[in-house]
Amino acid sequence: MHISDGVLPVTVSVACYALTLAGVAWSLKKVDSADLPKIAVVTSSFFVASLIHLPLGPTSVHLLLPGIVGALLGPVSFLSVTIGLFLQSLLFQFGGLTALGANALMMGLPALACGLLFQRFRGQTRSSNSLAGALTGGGGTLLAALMLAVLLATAGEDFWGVAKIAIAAHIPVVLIESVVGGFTLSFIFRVKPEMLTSKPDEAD
Amino acid sequence: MRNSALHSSLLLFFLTALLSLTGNAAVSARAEQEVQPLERSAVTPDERQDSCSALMAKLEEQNLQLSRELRLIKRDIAALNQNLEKPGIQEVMAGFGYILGLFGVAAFCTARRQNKQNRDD
Repeated sequence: MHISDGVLPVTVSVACYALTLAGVAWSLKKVDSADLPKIAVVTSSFFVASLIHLPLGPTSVHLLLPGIVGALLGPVSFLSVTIGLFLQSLLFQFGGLTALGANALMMGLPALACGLLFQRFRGQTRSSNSLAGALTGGGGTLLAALMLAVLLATAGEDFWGVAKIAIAAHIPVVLIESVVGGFTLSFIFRVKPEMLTSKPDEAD
Repeated sequence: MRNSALHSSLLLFFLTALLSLTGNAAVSARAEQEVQPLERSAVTPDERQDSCSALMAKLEEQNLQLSRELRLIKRDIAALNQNLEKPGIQEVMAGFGYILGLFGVAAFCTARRQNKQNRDD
């Protein structure tokens, strides 16, 4: 689902880069230094996730994981997604470097939204946590597909057409990520629930 | 015992010489078959035309076979190129290294700042 070089017009690309830089700066401020190992591990799994392919007829789609990253990291997920996408673009040639800003917005904004939704609808029990995890896991990919349609609409494509195709193509990914999100968050809630709570900002 | 060793080694030598000779003979006979020129006997122009067209047909058939094999080889090369472009374990390890290194440097700077703060207190 990564946008390659040369698809988006230059103005859109530059604007997305500006927004992404702002988002990364904001996200950096929210980093708690005690969380650095957790952020590193989640970034690594986001980076590797796109190597897992699911066959879809003649082609295949790959896992994305913005929902799970958002649920686990909260506001820091934007930074994590941007780093992961940057390395994917350099090492795997997934998505062009000029489209990095747009790709980061496409994955980062759903991650942030899923983080907010997860914290809002978490509940206290394990089943409510795993349900919220499943919904955010699947919802993250759906929102990313919608963002892809928005970005390609700025390039002149038909919004609803692209949205329908993108969502239809990623339905297996949505299903798998829902299951993975549910199980992951249920496991973390059982083993180390303090990892999921969002700490209040420390007063400097 | 030394005599029997000498005999068996001589026998081996002669056998290998014989085999290589027959091998060479087979190769040269095959070569002769391929490069055999057309026999120039007393043939009528019609017969010469027929043999010419037969030769042409044989050449075209060989051409077709060669182009078929070339197509298969080109397909193999295309598949190999695709495989080369796929990200491998090296790229994954490189990405891990970058991520862990980045966060490691961040952790190091944070720890140093905290140490300085603790020392200043």
